Amino acid sequence: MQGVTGSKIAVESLSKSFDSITAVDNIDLKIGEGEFVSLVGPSGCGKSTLLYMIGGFVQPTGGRLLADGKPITKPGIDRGIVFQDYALFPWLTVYDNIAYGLQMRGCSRAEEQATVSRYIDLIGLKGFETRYPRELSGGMKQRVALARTFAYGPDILLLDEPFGALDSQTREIMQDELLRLWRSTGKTILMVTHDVSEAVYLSTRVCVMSRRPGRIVREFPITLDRTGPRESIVLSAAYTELHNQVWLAVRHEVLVPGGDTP
Amino acid sequence: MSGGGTASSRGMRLLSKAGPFLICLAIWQAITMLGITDPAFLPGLGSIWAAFRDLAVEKTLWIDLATSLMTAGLGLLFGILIGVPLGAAMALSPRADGFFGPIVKATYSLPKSALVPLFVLWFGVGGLTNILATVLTTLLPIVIYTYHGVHGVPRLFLWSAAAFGTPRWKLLTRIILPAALPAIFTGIRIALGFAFIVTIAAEMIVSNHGIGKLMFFFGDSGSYNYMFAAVITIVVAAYLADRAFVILTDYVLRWQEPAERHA
Repeated sequence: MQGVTGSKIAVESLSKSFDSITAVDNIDLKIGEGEFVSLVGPSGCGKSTLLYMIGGFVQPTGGRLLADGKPITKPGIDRGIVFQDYALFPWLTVYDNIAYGLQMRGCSRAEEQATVSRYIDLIGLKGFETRYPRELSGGMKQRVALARTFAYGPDILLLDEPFGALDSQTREIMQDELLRLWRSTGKTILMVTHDVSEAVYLSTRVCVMSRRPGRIVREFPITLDRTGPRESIVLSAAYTELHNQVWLAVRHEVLVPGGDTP
Repeated sequence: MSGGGTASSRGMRLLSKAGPFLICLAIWQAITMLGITDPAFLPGLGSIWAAFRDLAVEKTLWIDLATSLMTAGLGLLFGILIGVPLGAAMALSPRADGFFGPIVKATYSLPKSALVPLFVLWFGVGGLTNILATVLTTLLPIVIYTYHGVHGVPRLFLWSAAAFGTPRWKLLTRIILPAALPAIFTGIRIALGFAFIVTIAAEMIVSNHGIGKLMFFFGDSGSYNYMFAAVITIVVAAYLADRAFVILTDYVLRWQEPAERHA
């Protein structure tokens, strides 16, 4: 095993079984600092389980997990997470939701206000500071969820199908927003998604998982020139070629005979 | 948020709420005026109003009302102060659940007013005895609803809180209690109704003051117009207390979907 110390996240021969079912089987994955890695694969392949184990919410049954070279045993403020259902605290306003992580870190009131208002500007929710989550649309909730996780400054971001519940226009806007946040902060991101276009458009590397028991079967480095606007990226030959390769790899896993069909 | 509406539409809403009461009163008055019943047993509204003014002028009514409100209020207050921590502890600690759970279940179906004669021997007539009976009654719904509220805090909130580095002691005040608050408020509202019932029952059994005492005294002496005046006074007081609590709930739980409140 080489290069473990250089990785932001290192997953070594990781397995997870629930009773007699093997959800995740013998996974090796290294993610370098500043990388944006996507996990795609058939539903029920253990993508989210893998993410939750890296988050420290679920304990593996075999193998090792390291963040910055240190074993992961429980959730930590070095790893921020955004859930599919946002999980905003409904009793807190937009401001207080974004400020929550900062308050837990014990940062000063002035620093808190400055950081929160910077992120509220960044996600375009100025004027919504005192609203409660129930008063927001799905896209707005998702932006608050991203902002509150970025705001308290974890190095690593774990995203669990963050845009799964959004309509396709809102999703594209949010993807560009995430891209902008990632570029301006240089965080390390691991995202679970079932949307191949999303994975190819956003990531520097896409990992395709097999159906259950989940393994990483293919890895695609994504080298796209991302300086232009969305349409110039999506319409480029390089994007189309990568998209088709990843899509075929996922399709192969979905259609592969055998395995345990639900 | 609810719009204020015009004065006339607000008047209509008020009328539609008061309507059922006005119809009941009209039927009551019609029955007494038609002479179907013995006026000694079902007095007319006029005679009840006269009795009410009598009691109000003599001021005994207000002293008794204050006594009943204080008993119900203190009973509810201590029910909350004991019930919320107890229910939360039972939900969070299997050991606390193992110890208190059987006691709570065993006392669930016990009519607490039946303990009043026993309490009188220990703590004397009125005062502490009545408050204790009320505390015991309000305790149960508050403990049970708090227990379920704390138990039902969604896993994602706890995971999020952990990811944000919430220390253990703050987990309770910043996440668990706010998330359980809607359930706790439901329990308190039920307990509020119970508090009035038990306070009046305890005062009727043995007491020197209180609306329950008045009801028993006038009922016993056959002055039913006075008895009804006392009954209506406590009904109105209990109704107003409930409305006030609903307004408080609407404010404290303003972050919740209105449809989820008062479920």
